[in-house]
Amino acid sequence: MTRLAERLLDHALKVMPPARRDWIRAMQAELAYIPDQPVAILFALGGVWTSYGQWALRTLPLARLIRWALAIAALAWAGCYAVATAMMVGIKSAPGMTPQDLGSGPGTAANLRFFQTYPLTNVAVLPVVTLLLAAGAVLLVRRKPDALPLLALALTGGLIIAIADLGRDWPLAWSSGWMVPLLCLAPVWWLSRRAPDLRPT
Amino acid sequence: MTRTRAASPQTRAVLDALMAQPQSWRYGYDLSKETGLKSGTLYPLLMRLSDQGLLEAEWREPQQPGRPPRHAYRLTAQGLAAASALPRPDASGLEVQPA
Repeated sequence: MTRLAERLLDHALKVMPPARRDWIRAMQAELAYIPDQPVAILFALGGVWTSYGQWALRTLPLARLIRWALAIAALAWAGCYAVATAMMVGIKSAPGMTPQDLGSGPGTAANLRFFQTYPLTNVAVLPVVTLLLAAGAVLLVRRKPDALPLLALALTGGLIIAIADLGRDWPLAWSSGWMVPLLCLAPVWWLSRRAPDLRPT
Repeated sequence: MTRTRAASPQTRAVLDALMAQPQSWRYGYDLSKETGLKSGTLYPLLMRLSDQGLLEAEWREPQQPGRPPRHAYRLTAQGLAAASALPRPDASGLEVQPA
């Protein structure tokens, strides 16, 4: 059991950034003063946790974390919009479709009615927003500053659709939620790029 | 105007433990037992306090022979001042700023 605690802290020492290793050596020394073996193992596990936390802070700067979160959010919603576009086009190209053709689940009739009466102009905006979101995500991952104007355009398109849909009984209203992480994270990423002092050292 | 961030309950517990005997050197395991904090919470806190210049740390020779030296901690003058300036809960549980 003592050996396990020691091995855990040996591992923690390797993971810990060099400037912080004295803290893990401090924990290694403490093991000799912990009489209870299970407590020593829990103590050592805390060292492993601390090391990985410090490693993450040192190697994953804030700007990078936000950039990836933003890219994943944009890509996920591009996927949702692509599916929505395909559904819209499929349903609109088959005007005689009935709820029974889609399986008569709860809300199917309301959803079908919504899709069938959805204005074609809005349908045309959906693939544009999809492409803008996907292109913005790819450019973000490649650290291109052009990503933000593209995402801003996607947001504008998304907002126009959301405002236009305000008057309708939209069963998929929740899908506008993709704009929230983009609206929150994009300015933070922009600021973190402009203010390197904010990044952890 | 200087803004100070409110201390978390964990930070407060560590500062209180260190402030109880401000001249004594304290050890990680003992602080963990006294505050009830797990080592994974305690040590990052100690690191942060040390980075902020509120805590001094040094290796001290063991009191019993055959044991390894221990990393020991105590508050700096700045740490003592910061810990004393923390609002304390009064009898009603409301936090009051020290005079």
